[in-house]
Amino acid sequence: MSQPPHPEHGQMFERRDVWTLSEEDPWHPIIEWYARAVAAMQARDGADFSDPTSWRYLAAIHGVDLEVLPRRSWPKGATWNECQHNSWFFLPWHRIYLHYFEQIVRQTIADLGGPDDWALPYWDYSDPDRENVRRLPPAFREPQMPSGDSNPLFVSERRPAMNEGGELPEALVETGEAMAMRFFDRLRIDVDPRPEEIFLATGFGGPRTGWNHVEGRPGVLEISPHGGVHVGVGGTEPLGWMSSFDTAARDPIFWLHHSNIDRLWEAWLALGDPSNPRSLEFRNPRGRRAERWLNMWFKVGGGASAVILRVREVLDATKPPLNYRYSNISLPAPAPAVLAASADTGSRFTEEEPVPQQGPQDIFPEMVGASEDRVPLAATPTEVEVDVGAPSGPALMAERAEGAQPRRVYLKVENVRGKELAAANYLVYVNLPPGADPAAHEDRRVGQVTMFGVREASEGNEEHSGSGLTFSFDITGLVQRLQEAGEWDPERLRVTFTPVLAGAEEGGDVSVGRVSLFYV
Amino acid sequence: MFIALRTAHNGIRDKLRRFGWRHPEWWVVMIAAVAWMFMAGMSHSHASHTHASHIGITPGIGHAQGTLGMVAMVIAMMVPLILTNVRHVALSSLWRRRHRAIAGFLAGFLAVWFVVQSAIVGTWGLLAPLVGWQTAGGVAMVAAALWELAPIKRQRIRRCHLTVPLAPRGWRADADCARYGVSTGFSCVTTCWALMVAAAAFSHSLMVMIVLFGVQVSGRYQQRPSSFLAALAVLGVCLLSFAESFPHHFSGLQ
Repeated sequence: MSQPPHPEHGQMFERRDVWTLSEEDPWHPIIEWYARAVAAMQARDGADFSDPTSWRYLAAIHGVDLEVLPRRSWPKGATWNECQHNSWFFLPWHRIYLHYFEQIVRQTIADLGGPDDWALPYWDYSDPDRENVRRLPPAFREPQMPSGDSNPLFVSERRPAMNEGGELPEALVETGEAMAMRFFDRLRIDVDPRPEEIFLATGFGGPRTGWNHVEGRPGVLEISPHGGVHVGVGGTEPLGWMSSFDTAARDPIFWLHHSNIDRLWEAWLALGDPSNPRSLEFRNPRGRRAERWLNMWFKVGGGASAVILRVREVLDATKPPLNYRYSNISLPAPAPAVLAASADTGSRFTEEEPVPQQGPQDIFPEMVGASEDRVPLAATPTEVEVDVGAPSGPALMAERAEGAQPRRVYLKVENVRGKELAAANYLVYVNLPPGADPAAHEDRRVGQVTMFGVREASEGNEEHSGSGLTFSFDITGLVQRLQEAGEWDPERLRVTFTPVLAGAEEGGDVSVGRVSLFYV
Repeated sequence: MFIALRTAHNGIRDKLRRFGWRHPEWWVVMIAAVAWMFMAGMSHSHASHTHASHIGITPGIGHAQGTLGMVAMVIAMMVPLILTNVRHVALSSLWRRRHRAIAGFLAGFLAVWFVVQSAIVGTWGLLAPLVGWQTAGGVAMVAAALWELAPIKRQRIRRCHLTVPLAPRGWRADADCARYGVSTGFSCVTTCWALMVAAAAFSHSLMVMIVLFGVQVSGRYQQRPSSFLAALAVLGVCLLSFAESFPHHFSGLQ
């Protein structure tokens, strides 16, 4: 294969919606050339996947099972097992990864005699006004291509219903909670960047971390739609490729899914802030601490085609070396439930004026209650009650201080661990009335917990400790509404986890280590 | 004047209080600092003594010998490696319990290390006179360097970052903290045993202690530390200590 072209001469590539293409023609040339390139790249795999432009090498960059492919068997200099998750590098790393992949596919297509301006399509599954978009595009479901050849876009290691034309549940493709985030790397509080101190805050793009492969706390976009779509396509019984870090990128739909996640980053930036259009605070990390983010560099790929890029070099996708744009970055209107849930979290959907930022020296999270035992995340809804005590430290002093701001309340779902998944995601509700149907109380939903990455994060190896995943939610708005309705018990909290895409009733061994409540 | 002094006093008190809130591990850091001062003092007095008697350094008879020296070495070398775990324990506990939680965690962690380090020092005390300090020290040095290069060490060290859910109150909270301390101690032992053997072997040299400590800190807090550099640092500083202890053996190199 010849060298991938570097778009230094200003050629702009357009990434288009795969369902729009499919509606024109299920085997639109952009899709068909993708299939032919995938087949060519799979043919380069060989026995040890040592060709950096081969399909398995590319997939292994995202992750490999170290028990199947231990480090000693890797090709020399392989940058495998590098995907960044649960981190503020989640979005920029995947942007670089997609850029590398797209260049290789484009060159492969050119080598096969196809166009030299091919760009990776995206799968926009979140628009409730468009039919079919929550289904896999037809070309990804057909075992054969129109020519009768085996279709490399078809993968049997998926949730069978997806290959049969089934839809992803709406909850798994929701973008509203992510889009409601005002900040990239935190909720609304600005605290010291030490990982232990920002454990309450995850914004749109993920928490501040160093190089972070698996464990930690996902940002809101990473939970939904990112995590939900992964497990929604891959399934849980048996576990399909898309459901695991180590195999996800072997499914050709992975790249279109991440193209859409990348598009959502662009869409979020383009939304602006209705309450303060001139403010850039909500945008990508800024200020002194952002330098660490901007200067972080990643090497993706191997050999002559490898790319080494800093985060600051990929922030503007329309400029070299990326040179691409999306055909459409508009977003569906957020669902009413999302509007209700985000009504008082400083969301961009509210008319509320931004609350003045407190200095880091003034922020001290205080835990006021936690569950006593593990909480199973099963195929049926599970509930846990938490005894809450009165604050006795900084939260109490902050409350008594002159000019005190309203207390903020955070719910933390800690150490989610397990090896067998019983569902794709869980919807998290606070203080549902006993016996109530969760669907009838969407205003009590505070967010989602995704199972994508739970298995890997539960395993102790040279990449991670086995602590599992942790999630945090700002529930201040809900608490205020419950207080106003006289339904808030300051001594007791009830949290309900409702499965989305549940498997067999007895399946799964995932559990939450602890549910805790913090006042700030 | 009185009001100004009182205001300044209140300001300092407020800053200290906030520092304590933000850094609940402050007293753990102080304990480690005292342990390092103790080790430095021991090293200084040892060096003065040997210099005065003109008999050269007495290798193998350093801080690790004696209960107090062993305790100081474990605290100085190991406690700074678990400050993130200490913070996890404190910040995951009810406010009024957070220092108690730290104490429970530390007790579990140190209990494991005191037992292990006693065994290391005891074994060293038996073996070194039998085979000679140079041989035993050389074996300890090579073993520590090889362990730094071993892939299994990279795997073990990630276990030191493990966090666990802690019960919020009652005896279960105390038990969870202590248990977490013990499990962290075991992870730490399986990661750092070789360096601590080398530390016991070269405990007469503060320079060796500091370099080995640096290697441990780098391994613990860097996401992908260089195994090669770590092994090189271990070999380098131990050889330097050999050269200092036995100048006549190394005179040809000078």
